[in-house]
Amino acid sequence: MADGTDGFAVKLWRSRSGRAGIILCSLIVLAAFCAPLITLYNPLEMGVGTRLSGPSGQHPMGTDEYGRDIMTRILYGARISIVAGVGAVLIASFVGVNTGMVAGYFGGALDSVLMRIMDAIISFPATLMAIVVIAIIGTNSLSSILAIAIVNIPTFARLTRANVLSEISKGYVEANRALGFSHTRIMYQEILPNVLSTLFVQITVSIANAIMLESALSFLGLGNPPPAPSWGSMLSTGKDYMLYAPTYAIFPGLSLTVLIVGLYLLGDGLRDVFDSRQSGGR
Amino acid sequence: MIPAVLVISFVVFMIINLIPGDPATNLAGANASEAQLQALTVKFGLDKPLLHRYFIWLGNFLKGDLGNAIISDQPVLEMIGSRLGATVELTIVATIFSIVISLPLGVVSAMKPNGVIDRVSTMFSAIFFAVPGFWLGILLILLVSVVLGLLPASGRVAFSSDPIGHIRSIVLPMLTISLGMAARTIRYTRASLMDVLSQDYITTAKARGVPKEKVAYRHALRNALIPVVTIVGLQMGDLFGGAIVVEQIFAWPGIGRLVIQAISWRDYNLLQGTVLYIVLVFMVVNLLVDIINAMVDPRIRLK
Repeated sequence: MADGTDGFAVKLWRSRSGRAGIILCSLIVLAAFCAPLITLYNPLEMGVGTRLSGPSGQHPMGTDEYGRDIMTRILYGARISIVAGVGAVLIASFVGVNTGMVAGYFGGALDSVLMRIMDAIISFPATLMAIVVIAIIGTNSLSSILAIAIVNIPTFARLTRANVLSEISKGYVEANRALGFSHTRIMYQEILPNVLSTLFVQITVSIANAIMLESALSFLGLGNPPPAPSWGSMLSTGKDYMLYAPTYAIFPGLSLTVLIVGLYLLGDGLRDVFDSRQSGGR
Repeated sequence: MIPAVLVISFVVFMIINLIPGDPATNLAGANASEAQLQALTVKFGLDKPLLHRYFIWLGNFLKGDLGNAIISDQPVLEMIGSRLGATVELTIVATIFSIVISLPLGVVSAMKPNGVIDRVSTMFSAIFFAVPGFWLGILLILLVSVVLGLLPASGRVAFSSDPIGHIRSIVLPMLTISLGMAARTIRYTRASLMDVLSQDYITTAKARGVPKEKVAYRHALRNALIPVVTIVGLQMGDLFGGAIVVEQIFAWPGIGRLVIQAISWRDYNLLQGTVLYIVLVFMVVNLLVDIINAMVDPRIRLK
């Protein structure tokens, strides 16, 4: 493992999609967290410009229906998307990986019960499940994160379980048991490192899908309540003012697409690196 | 199948009843008297315990009655029925259109990797894979309806009153759904066919002198299509439940819009019925996909 780890970042950078993904994602993350350095306006301050004006030197992406600067709102809105996507996937992968690990390692009745619960979640289409969860817990800044997390848990549980089962069939798990190692040690120190690479690829792709779902939810009015500058709700209001300010609905969607493309590319790059390591190492 | 339906009906009922807010209070309004509130609570059976209510609801559901919607007082099944046509039509038209674009592109790309068509279709699928459907819908409205003025921006014109207008009204929602679907199907078709084409039995067929086209269409395509059927089927299953976001953008009066309306009206009965319908359809379509796969691939045996 050690000889592969130090060359990892270099390999990722050398893969074309990996490099493009790193550049796009870091640009957006940097822009989001350095927003106060890039723009002088406040995302919630009304009347900094005339209402619904098109792009100009002062407001590069125009202004919205309350005269707020759209570029400022997009920059701060990126924070909402990133926090929601990363937060939801962190929760989902934590719960999902542990569920899959326990189910796959111990098997038996525990496995059946846990996996039937996962099946129940999957039997709902993802958007519908998220909407229903939000209807139960109400709309606030945390509820969409929680809803998206729940939708994503089964993916991680199933993936981890499948990987754990194939690891268990290899000799080393048996050997570790014979050595008298505790279950926790075998699960988290021996098996987990071997399944991490597949998980990393899945995490990247899931973050992209989570960000997309968060925007869809706030587009439907079920995400961060106004006046939060979330991209989805900007798109939905932008659509209403399409006749007066056609560019309003273009920029939030463009930012969303660029971020998603960046994450997909990063996922492709990670997969390339892990695949080459696997085929080259054996 | 039947135990699964029972479990799903229970899960749906319990989940929907977790939603805070009481429909009786909601309908009666803030100024209602205690007696009015009481009458409504009894009318909707809300005075009975939860489990009791579930069994009443289940019994009625098995008799084909999902109760009446609380706000409109119409039978829920009737409301779903009135929206079903729009959703089914959009699903089928969009699926067919996406297959018409993606299957030939995927096959040609796999036969000539790195050729012109492969490059164009890879770019096409990369773009539409990442563009979120709701933004694509807005862009199409902006370009086709607002700038060019060619097609209506939203709504559904009844076929009986104006057939041409009906077709014009379905084009944009259809494109929004099928471009994204096609992007996925192209990827799967190309990858799956390339995988099959590299297998030994194909090399054998070629070595025996079977023409390249015949190898691809007669020997390879059938096997290559199995994962494609799965991915198209799963996407269709999602759509039969109503393309919630796309229906919202285009004010398309389908099931997806009904869900959003039921939530904003806090109409439990309606939401319960609609969600149950969607989950059941999702399940049936997944089952059909398995059956079709078994028909295409004799190696797969249904349990």
